[in-house]
Amino acid sequence: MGSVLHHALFAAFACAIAGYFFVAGNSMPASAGRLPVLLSVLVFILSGAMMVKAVRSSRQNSEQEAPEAARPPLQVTRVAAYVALIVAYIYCIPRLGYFIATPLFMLLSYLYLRALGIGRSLLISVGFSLFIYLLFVRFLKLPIPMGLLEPFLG
Amino acid sequence: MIFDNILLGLTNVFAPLNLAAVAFGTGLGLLVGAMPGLSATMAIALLVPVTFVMRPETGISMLAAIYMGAMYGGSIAAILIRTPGTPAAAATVLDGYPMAQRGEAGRALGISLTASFVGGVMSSVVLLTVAPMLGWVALMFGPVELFAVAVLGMTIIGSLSQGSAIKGLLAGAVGLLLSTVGMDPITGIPRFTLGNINLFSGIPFTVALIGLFSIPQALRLIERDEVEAERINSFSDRILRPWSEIRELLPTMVRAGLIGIFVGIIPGTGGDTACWFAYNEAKRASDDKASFGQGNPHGIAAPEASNNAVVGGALVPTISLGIPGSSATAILLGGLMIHGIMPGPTLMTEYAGVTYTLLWAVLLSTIFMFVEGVIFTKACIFVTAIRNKTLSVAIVVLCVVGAFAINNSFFEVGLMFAFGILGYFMDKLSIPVAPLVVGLILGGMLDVSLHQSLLMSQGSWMIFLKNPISAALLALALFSLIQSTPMYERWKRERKARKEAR
Repeated sequence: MGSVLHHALFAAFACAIAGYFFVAGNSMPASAGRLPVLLSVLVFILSGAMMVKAVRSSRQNSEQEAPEAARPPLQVTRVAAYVALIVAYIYCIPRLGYFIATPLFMLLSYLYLRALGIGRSLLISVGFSLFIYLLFVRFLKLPIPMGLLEPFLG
Repeated sequence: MIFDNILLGLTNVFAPLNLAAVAFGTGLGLLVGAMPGLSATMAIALLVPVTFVMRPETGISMLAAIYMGAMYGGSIAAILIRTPGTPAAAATVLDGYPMAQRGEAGRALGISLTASFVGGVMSSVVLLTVAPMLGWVALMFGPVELFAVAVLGMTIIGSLSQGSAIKGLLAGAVGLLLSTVGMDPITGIPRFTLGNINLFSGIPFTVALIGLFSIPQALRLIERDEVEAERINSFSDRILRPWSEIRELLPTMVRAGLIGIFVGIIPGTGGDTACWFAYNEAKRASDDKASFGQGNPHGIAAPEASNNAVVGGALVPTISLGIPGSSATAILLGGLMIHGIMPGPTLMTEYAGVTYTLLWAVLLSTIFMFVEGVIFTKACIFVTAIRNKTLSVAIVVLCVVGAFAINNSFFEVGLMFAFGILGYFMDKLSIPVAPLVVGLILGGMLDVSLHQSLLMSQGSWMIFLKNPISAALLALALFSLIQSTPMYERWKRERKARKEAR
């Protein structure tokens, strides 16, 4: 049943986008709104078809009860916390500067995910940031925001 | 004209900078392919921003070389740690790992490298001959035919995508819908921008694809605890195989190469499909079927020749028609777009210098792949040991800087992440991402050609049926839709049952 709910959520999301395009497209001159309106109708139809198929598959699966493959369980909390860390990282870059936010994000992520020990996490975080600096700032001349490090690296 | 352009491409590809880019790209592809969890598509997406400072032909040749290198690189992890480095190497695990377990890891890698070389050369030759001819035909296409080509491309990609055809078509339709964001190309009216000036020029395609292909991968790498893989840490036998052994495997390699080219040409299918076709075909043709799965060399040669052959095959519709044959070629097309080169038949004329250099670069990267494979395969063993969580964090950092690099905009970094989350949920629901990306690319062409066609016909849709080429292409599109429906499947089953009963 979880699968049906997930499909329903995605179908609702697709229909919401299509609904916006349909309404806005209809208020535009015909030549500009024609394709978006046609495509939104297509998205409505296909979302409905996907839902019907999900319900049918769910019924068949519950009758057959296929055995679950032996895989480690999905760590939902870990994924959610990691996503939150990434959002915080993107938020901090313009404020702290890329070369403070990046090693900090890498270090915190490695420690949270228990990927490496503190020493190696620190080494990789700083080393990788240095690599990015050399490639994107020195070689590609990209104006990456330096933030607090502006006086030293800017 | 075509011959002149082929010569121009040959001259260009031997420019020192282009040679260096192809050599570097191939080596990088080997490393990326050898890392389980990193796909060629993701590596190309992350490196698109790096090509900004390069000339278009240099940058795009490097990206194509990564694709070719990664196809062989994927077999290194498949053979040594029983985990395919890329999805296209999944079938290689079946016979590669048992052979390595017998103490013949070098032999397995050597067969894989030679088969990849044979498949790569075959597809490069097809690419160099078929793409220009098809491109020449496509030059005669006007807006009516181009509209039909775009519709056909979308329906094939949607209906042949892995999993359900409905989901593939839905993803494609959402991609097309999102491609209409921004100024209308004919009237100049801003559409669906929510008043945000950053969206006036549309959704940046490269930003979307970095998010769609890389962020879901980064999240997948950490979402489950890592299972310690059984691994082979070293080998002592030679990678370069004797001619007598290769001669025996050559028919399998050639057959698999042809399968790979054919599968590659069909939009929506790629190395992950071709490797299983080729493996099954090699098994079917073998007198010793029982040894498949126990280290049969044909079981390594077939999938490896086919997945490298897909590279050239997938580039045929990409170059000649502007319809990407696979996710990786969609990104290559995106790489061209950020250099201001628009997909479509003009690739073979207006941008002949870039396009024909790319065609030769594919062949050259095959040669580099063989040489670098012989020298560096042993060194690639260490990258198979990098842990998923370590890789995941590095991928996120590269995504952020890559998305920022395109227009120096943090709005686009946020957009990249939003597409990444969308891609992650799509993956969880087995909705393919490739049709969405292709929809984003083809949306512009579809929109403009529809506008122009309806202007020509004074608003009559019959123009698409009155034109014989467009009518034929749309009929094909309709057939590709029909063949993906359950009714067609049922009809096919019933017909087969009736035949067997007779």
